[in-house]
This record gives sequence, C-alpha cells and structure tokens, in this order.
Amino acid sequence: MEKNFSRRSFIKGMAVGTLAGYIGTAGLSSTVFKSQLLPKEMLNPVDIGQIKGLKIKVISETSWYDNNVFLNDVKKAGGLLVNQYEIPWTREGVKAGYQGDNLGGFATYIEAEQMDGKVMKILLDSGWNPHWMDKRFKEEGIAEKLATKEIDFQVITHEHIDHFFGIESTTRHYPDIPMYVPKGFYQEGFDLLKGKSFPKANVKNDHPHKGKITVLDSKQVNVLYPGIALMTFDVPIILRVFGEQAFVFNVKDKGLVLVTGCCHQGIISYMEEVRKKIVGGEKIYAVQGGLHISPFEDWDPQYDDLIMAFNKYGVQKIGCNHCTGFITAEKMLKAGLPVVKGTARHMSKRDIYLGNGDELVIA
Amino acid sequence: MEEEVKEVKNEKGWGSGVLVGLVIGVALFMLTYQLLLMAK
Repeated sequence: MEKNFSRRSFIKGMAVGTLAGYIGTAGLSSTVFKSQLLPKEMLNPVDIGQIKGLKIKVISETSWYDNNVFLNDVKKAGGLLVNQYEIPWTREGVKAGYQGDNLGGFATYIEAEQMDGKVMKILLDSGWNPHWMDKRFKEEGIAEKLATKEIDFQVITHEHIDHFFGIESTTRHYPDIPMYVPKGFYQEGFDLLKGKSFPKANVKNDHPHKGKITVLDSKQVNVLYPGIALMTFDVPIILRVFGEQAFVFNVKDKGLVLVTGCCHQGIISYMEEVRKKIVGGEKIYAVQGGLHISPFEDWDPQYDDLIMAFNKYGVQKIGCNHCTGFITAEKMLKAGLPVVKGTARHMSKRDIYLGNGDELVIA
Repeated sequence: MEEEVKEVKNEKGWGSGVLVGLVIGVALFMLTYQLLLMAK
C-alpha cells in the first residue's frame, strides 16, 4: 500500500460512495430501468374483459342477531384478538335469534352473464349457523342449484366465522364444488373443509369438501373469467384471521361493480386499488355487500370523512348490508349517496340495507 | 510547511474510498430491493 495512503480519507470516501451508490441506483431503477424491474400490472392496469349483465342476490346478510350477545362471547373469551376457533359462541336462549340461536351468516348468490350469453353462477361465502343457512339456501333455490352442480364455483371471501363456519350447508349438496380462498387461510380452515370439528367453537363439517381449492394471493389481479376478477388483500383481521378477497365485475356500458363480503381491507383502499390496477377503474358503477364501517353501530368522526370521500368516486349504486352499520347507511343517504334500499324480509332488520332475499340487477 | 505537505498526501485515500463505496452502495440497494420483493 502507498506510504501516504490515509485510512481516514479512505473511510470518508467510502461513506460518500456508498450513499451516492445507493441513492443513484434507487434513482436509476425507479426511472430508467423501471419497466424492467416492476411487475407488468404495476405499470399498466389489467384489462379484465367484460360481461353483459349481473344479478346479485343477498341470501343472508344477518351474521348474528344480537350484537351484545356476540360481543359478550368475544369479551369472555379474551377479546377481539382471540382465535375464533377457540371461542364458545352462544347458540341458544337469544330472544332476537333464529330459533333462539344468535348465529346467522353471510352468503350472496351471483349470476354473471358473459358476452357469449353463458351465465356464470357463483356462491359467495357459506354463512355460519348451518340450520339458518340450510333454510335460506332452500328458500332461495341455492340448495337445488348446488345439488345439480349448476353453481360453477364458490368463493370464500375470508375465514371469519360468519362467512365460513357454515361450510357444510354448501358441501352437503355439492362436496366437490371448486372453491377459491384467499392466501392467509389458517390450517384450521383447511381442516374444517376436510371435515374436522371444533367443539369449543361449536362448529363442525359432516360433509368434507372434496373438490379443488385454489388459494389466491395479492400479487396480481386474479381474472377468473372474462369480466370477472378477484382482488386479494393481505390484511390482518380480528379474531385471528388473515386475508380477504372481493369481486370486481366489469359490466358493459355500465362500469365496474365491486362485490364484497366484509371489506376489511377498507372500502376506500379497495376502490383506490381498483382504480390503480384495473382498466376502467375510474368508473366504479356500483358497490354491493358489507362495507365494514360501523358494524357495532358505534360512530367516530373519522367515518364522516370516509363518507365524504365516497363522493369523489361517483358510484351510482350502493347496495350495502351486513357489517356496514345502519348509522353508516343513514349518513350515506343524508349525504346524498345512492343507497339502494331493500325490503327488510327474512330477518333483515331494516330496509336501509339490501337485505336477505333482495336483489341488485345491473344490465 | 512540512505538515501542510503531509495533509495533501493524506487525501490520496478518497478516490479509492469512493469507488469501493459506490460498489457497496449499489450492492446494498440491490439487496434491499430483493428483500422487499421477497417480503411482498
């Protein structure tokens, strides 16, 4: 080494060089080499194709009948972060419940007419209390459509009790129904599908699922059929659940229709993602399902901002229910948002929701 | 006077330092980028 070589100067130079190298590479990779480094859909939105029309029928949006009983079950078990498979849920003696049972469930039936006239039939979720879900499936003709394998596939939006624990109401009729679940499903979820019971949580499945299960992740927009896509979100959810997915349909001459289960990803985040990642995202025509704003009917001033924010998306139909919150639906109406009212039948409490047995048709 | 000459001679390490630093900086960024991709 040279006699007058200074170690101190070398280190100083190295520090400056490292910083310049790091910032320089970051700068180059986010500009000049952007197209080589980023996944395609982050650069260009995905064209999911189109469908001719859409029918969305609410089979059950009443997940439980008494909020206090539900919250008390959670509180007694240790709070909202406790594993849902470990909570003894109240199944009897509830005045407001279905035959005294506090549990109901969430499920939606969707018919999407493709451009060639073929109608795709989809079951979204499978509820919670099998007695209630069996009754609703029978009343709405879902049981028959399952038994004859008319329904093309089932999507489980997320692993929550009220969307998934009633899985045997589906599998008793159609055990090999193709199923899509979001990445983040726990082993207990797959075990329940295979027929394992969880006595502590009062949940069982006497009709093991035998069909194909596809796990979808959030890395890309999952286009299932032309005009029909699922977006998956990596979100941690209460009661130790992870991941949720929701539908995006592209209806010709109308625009995009978003159909959700609970929307734990947040309705604004969901609409923003759709805007960024899907062609036509600037025209969201309708939103249907649970919007998860005030599920326990509490209110926070920040929710007012959320409702105001809704305005900028220009949505023309909002068919909300389930975990949206009646207060939210009322405030949306007051703010002039186009809330589609229902008929308050089949144990749905108020017509401000698109309730059990109600239908939203977009064509 | 003798000390001043010494100071100037000591600057000789800078150039090599910057070069080595640049290589480290680029490598560090690439490592961060890979880690971020894996975490996603």
